[in-house]
Amino acid sequence: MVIDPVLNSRRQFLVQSSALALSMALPLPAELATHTRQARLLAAWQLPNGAYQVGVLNAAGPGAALSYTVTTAVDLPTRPHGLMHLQGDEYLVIARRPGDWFLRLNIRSGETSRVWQEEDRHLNGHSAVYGDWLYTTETDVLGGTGALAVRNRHTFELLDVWPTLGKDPHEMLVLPKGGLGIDEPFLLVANGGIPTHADMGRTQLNQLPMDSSLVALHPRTGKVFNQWALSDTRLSLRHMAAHTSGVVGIAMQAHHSTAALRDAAPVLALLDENGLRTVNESAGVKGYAGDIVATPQGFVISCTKNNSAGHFDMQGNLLHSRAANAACALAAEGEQVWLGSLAVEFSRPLELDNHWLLI
Amino acid sequence: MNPQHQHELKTGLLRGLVWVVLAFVLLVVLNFANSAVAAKPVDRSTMLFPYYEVAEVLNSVAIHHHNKDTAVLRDQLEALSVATAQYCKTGGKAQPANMQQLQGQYAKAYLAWLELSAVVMGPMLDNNTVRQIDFRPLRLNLLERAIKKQPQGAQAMALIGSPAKGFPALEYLLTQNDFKSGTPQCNYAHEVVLDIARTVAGLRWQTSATQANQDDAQALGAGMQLYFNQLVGATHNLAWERMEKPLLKNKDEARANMAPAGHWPFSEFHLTEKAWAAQWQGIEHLLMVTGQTVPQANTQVIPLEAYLRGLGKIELADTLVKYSSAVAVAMRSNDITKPASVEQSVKALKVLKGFLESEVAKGLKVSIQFSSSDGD
Repeated sequence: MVIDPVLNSRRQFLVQSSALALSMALPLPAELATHTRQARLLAAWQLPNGAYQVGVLNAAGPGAALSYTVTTAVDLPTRPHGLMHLQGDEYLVIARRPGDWFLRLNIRSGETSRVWQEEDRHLNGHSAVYGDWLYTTETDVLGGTGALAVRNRHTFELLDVWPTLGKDPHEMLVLPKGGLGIDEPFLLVANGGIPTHADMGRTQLNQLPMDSSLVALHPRTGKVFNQWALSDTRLSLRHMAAHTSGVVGIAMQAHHSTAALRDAAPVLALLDENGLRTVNESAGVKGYAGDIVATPQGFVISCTKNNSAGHFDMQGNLLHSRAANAACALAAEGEQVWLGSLAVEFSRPLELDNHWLLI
Repeated sequence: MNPQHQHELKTGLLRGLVWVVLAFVLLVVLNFANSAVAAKPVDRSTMLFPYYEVAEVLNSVAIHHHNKDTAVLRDQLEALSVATAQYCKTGGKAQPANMQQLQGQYAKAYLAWLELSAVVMGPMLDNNTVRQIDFRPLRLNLLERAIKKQPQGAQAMALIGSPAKGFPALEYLLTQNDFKSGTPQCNYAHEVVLDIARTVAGLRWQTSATQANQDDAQALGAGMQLYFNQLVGATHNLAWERMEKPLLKNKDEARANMAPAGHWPFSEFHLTEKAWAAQWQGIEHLLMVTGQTVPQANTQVIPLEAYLRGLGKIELADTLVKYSSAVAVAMRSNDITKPASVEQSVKALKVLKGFLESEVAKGLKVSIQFSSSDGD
């Protein structure tokens, strides 16, 4: 497959028609050769020349032969991570940790506006909205502590900064009243807990203790409702998905000292009113889960380093797993799950990032 | 004076003049010869590079790069302290020329700091020195509070947060109209200089033990891994943080305001290009052989190029020289009034960084962590 060079056009907005057979649909509950419906996905990727883009993929085709067409592509200055719906045709793209920009993208007009982060906190790649407020997970550069920046959803003006009671806050969810036994709507933040040094980029200081936890915060005051942590402190709680039942699935990454310990570590945890627990059956996948989505039966996680994806029920039983080269981004709607991976027959045309969003 | 004495005096003066002229000519010749040597490209074909131990490389970097640069910075800070004290004690008689002199000395000290901190290692990592003396953004409300407090001495300054002191505070104060001698601002500025000097004086560059056992081998491997990652990080910091990011911010601002924008780091002191050059110098010194002789580990820095040649990785070393030289050429042409020149440097730095991350890392069997490719 040839990537059209106009992807780097000056207008940074284009329609490109070559098909990308680099992903597949995961028909659920079984691997049925159903014809998946057409879908549009907001995705981010790296080009063979090393440049990063965000754009829209059109997905079409039957089952595992699903292919994608890039219909919109916008150049980005550094590697992106989280994608979020802002309002109408507008979406938010955030730089990967340690990030210093986020971008408002109108997928209809192609218009963009970029916001630059002050140097005293770096962005950690995820955001959420509640009412008129936008929240971004960040790290305080001076102290290395986790922070939640509160901004105006429309103007992005910084309104407040709250502590997240941990290090390296990553993804967050806005959950409704009643979830996890909390009587009000709340923010659930995953503190990834990985210690880093401001002068050492993404280097993980593995000799230092980690500080990973989940924390529930009041979305208007930052007041802490509850906090949960695992007994295995080398597990980083990073990405989350909420099931309609109220159970939260958490995709984890293991940071133990040896490959054997990492491989033996579970990569899925479940949080409900009874607390936080790891799922034993999710071990043996090289200690890395990249993304997670909820399905009617439970959760699907992508295990990038193990080149697989696994589907678990609400009790943590493995329903089935399948091989998927460099499995990464996931999206789900009802019974259907879309899984981003790299088709073996192509020589790495685009390298998809961790997340995508159905639009 | 009698005629004989007059004659002797004339003769003596003439002889003196002849010697002065001869000395001048000799100096010119020597200077020309030196510059000719310096300009001469390094001829690597005649050099026989030995195998350098990892400990030799790391120790040469600590002693003959970072420790030397620390000494230079200490001297510059001492001169800055004297200049600030003099300026602040002129009893309201400070002239614009005094301020220019003070700003000039500040610039020298800051450029020395940028060269030292280009590749952050050892005690600078342990002490978080960059955050201690060059934390940005400066918080003006905290600075004003600190000035009112008038802290004096190490203990009092330790209670002042980084966002209100260090180079950024000094840089700001030196550009204010109310920065006059005898004012609280002036007194605080002097305390800030002394505080920076104390922090820099506390940098102790340690050497690594040579490999005697398995533990040493592991520690040295980790040391090399850290050093290489910090080198990669240094190229990223210069290319992205210092150059491309301000370039893009200016473009964004120009697009939003429909007018050209030109906010560059350190532009108040006309230091932007010099700051980039100083930072590059702090990196280049660790990348390429610049002299005409093979570097000796006990007296000189062993740059990455020499280490690679000693390992027999000639192709990697040659490509490293090619890409580093391209950066050096581009950096000499930087001009903030011509953004294309900055773009060219960014491009060259990115090529160098990409090469270090992919090819050299593979050649040295080190993993890239600074810009790890995991999906997060």
